[in-house]
Amino acid sequence: MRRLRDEAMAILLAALLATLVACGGGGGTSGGSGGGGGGGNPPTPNTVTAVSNLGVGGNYADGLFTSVTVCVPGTSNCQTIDNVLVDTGSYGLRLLGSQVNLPLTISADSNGNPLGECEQFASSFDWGPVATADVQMAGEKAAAVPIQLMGQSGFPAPPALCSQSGVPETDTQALLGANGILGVGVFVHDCGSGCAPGQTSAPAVYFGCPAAGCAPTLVALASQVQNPVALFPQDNNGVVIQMPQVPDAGAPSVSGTLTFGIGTQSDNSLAGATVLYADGYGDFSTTFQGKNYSGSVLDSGSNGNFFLDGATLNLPLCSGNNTGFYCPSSTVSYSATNLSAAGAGTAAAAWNVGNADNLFATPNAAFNNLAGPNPGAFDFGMAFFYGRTLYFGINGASVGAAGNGPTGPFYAY
Amino acid sequence: MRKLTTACLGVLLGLAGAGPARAAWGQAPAASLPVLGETLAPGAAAQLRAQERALAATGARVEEIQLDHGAVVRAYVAASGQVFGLAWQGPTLPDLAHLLGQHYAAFQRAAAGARRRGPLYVHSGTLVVEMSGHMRDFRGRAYLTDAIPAALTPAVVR
Repeated sequence: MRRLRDEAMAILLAALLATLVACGGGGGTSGGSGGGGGGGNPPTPNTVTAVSNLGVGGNYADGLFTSVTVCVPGTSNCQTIDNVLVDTGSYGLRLLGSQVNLPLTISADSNGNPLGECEQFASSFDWGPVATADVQMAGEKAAAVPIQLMGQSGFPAPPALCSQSGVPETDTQALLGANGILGVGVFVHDCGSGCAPGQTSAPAVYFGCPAAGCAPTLVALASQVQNPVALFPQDNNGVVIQMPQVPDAGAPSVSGTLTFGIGTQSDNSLAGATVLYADGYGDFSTTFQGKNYSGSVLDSGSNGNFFLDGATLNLPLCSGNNTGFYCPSSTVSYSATNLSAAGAGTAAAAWNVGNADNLFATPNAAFNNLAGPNPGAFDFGMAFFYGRTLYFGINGASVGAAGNGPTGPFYAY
Repeated sequence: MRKLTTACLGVLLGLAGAGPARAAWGQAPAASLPVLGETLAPGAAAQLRAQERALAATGARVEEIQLDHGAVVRAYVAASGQVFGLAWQGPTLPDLAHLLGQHYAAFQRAAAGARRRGPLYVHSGTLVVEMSGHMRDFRGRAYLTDAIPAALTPAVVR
């Protein structure tokens, strides 16, 4: 395993210190989500450092990490967790239980039993109890946020209904490559109405866990794990991620920003970006070589640009441990047009595909040309984020005064 | 994924009645779901659309099972009755322990070895499993490369 570079560590420490200082300062609060500026009050610090490096396991490619402070609700009993993966493809904060040393209270279901959650991704799942914590980043603080404690010791093992998808459980630092996942995508709740009272049956997402065993249960929206940004008192209508460009061969570490709010302060203006509204699933569409594809996303939690397949693109896959990535003999350039799911917005997209075997053979972690197959669809992952400023507008929240700016869910760049 | 008629589903699930046949997504007695590589008895005649005509020309057929929470599984069945492909869509991940049958263990090994985080892409021996999406909306397919009828390509499984 490769080690974290010293410079990366220094950046992480600086970010951690900045967070602590900001929290200690208390931060002034300014206007509401749609407000601009904040009147006469000093602006709330709304930016944290996000670093793309090899991660806590020393072997992550194209992962974006930041630090998150969690507290026992209503107290100053807090802990800062570093190396949390910034994920615009999920919603809610999840921390490895092994990394949290606070006495957080486990949530109860409607019958008073401990509440567990099976959080699913396309290629992995996480399991653990729901707990409540205050969540702080920069000068922002969300009170009493339902979060997930992944792999919490002492909690029941994943029920079959959770694990029978067959994808791996990533509830250890070694398997996750991070200490947690910060889901700051375009929705508030990780499951939403599909898991809330009113459904005729409960999907295998939330589980009540009496001694007899865990069984699916419905959970009110307010008690579901949710995007902490939406619960900030201000700067709560979305996030902006800005990353510098990296060289063709990649970089061992590159530092960017995760900024809270869109159009709420001088540092998060939407001006100049094209808005791509998302559909009810958080997707837009992509036109590539004359053909339209649905289900497109901008997902910092996907490590490469995953699109179409080797036969369609005439691109060879890598072999050995790197199957799942493209390995062209020389770099290939692609371009496409991303289409808003509502209205007429279109945004050009251009990216390169390099040889993943060669990229992984370097000591680098941040690659703008890492790519792999995703038949029939486009997932613009972390590789797409370098050299861009990307906006993620939360469902139901507006930018600017009502009617003057877009309302989420939307992406923009 | 396109919706097909549900005419055949009552028979497939062993259910009767006028309403659409439904089984729970990931929590029902899974015996009513098809299994990759195994046989599936014919359902009632399905209405063929353009894509299905290509299947029909080889004696193959497609059957769709609608499940709770809006989830759908489609089975691609060769003339022999063998399920050579499956496609699905739903708000959560499917019960691949059932759907992949004897191929499940190989799938688990291959999925655990992946270095990527993002859409699932497992090509292991003759088994292909692909899945994309996120909570609320997952889509995927599985097929056996050596079970696809000679006149067809994997593109029919979708």
